[in-house]
Amino acid sequence: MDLFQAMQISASGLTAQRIRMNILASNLANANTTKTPEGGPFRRKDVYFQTIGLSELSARSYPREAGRFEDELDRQLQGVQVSQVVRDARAPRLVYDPNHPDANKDGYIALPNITVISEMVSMMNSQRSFEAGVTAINAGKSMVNKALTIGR
Amino acid sequence: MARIDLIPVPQPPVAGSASLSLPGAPSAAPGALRGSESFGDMLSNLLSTTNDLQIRASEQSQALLSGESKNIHETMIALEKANVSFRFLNQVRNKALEAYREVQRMQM
Repeated sequence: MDLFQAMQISASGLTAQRIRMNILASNLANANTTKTPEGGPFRRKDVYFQTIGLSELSARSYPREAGRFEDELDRQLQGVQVSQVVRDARAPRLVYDPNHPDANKDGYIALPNITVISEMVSMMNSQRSFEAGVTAINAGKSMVNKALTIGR
Repeated sequence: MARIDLIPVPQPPVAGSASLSLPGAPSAAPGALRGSESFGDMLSNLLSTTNDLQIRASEQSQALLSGESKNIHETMIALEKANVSFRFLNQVRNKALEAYREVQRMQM
């Protein structure tokens, strides 16, 4: 179990947080969007994570090096991947505005159910997770560099 | 009383196996003593590994700049791996030179 595996696992976490950050940014930008190409207002999106084994993670990043020897401890190592992006199934928020071009026959427009505060808290969460992953990578790197000073 | 799931920890390979844990190195089963491999072979393997990692790092940088790769952290990690591999090569060189000087100092 070499330290580069720690870097690879952390990198999967960073990729997952990057995707989550993009989804949150799109949620925030579209907080007041009433029209989408598929009809209806913008629907809030969320990302779900699931684990991915280390061997599959290595196969994705370095397809040339398949079949490396792995032991029991390696099989316990798991990175993270985005399993799916789900749309919020709750009904949109109706606001009375008959002069709006997207108003329905009763004069209501449908606005997305996005609370800016909750999206921003999720963004801060995602940022801290990203920073934690970078710290883990740096820690692994400094351990390797320290090992290279043995006998100096 | 909580049950603790114990994961068996494998014993580390015997000292003396010449397998490197750098990615791209020729994979060997740990514990297999490479008695037939000379120091020169090990050095040339290490050189090719370092070269591969350097090439991969520059490929990743190209991919990032062209927009093909969206993950800047993967490029940084590839650069770090190339850096570590080169430092390791440097250390091996230092140790080899030190051993050579030690042999030179021997009184005949």
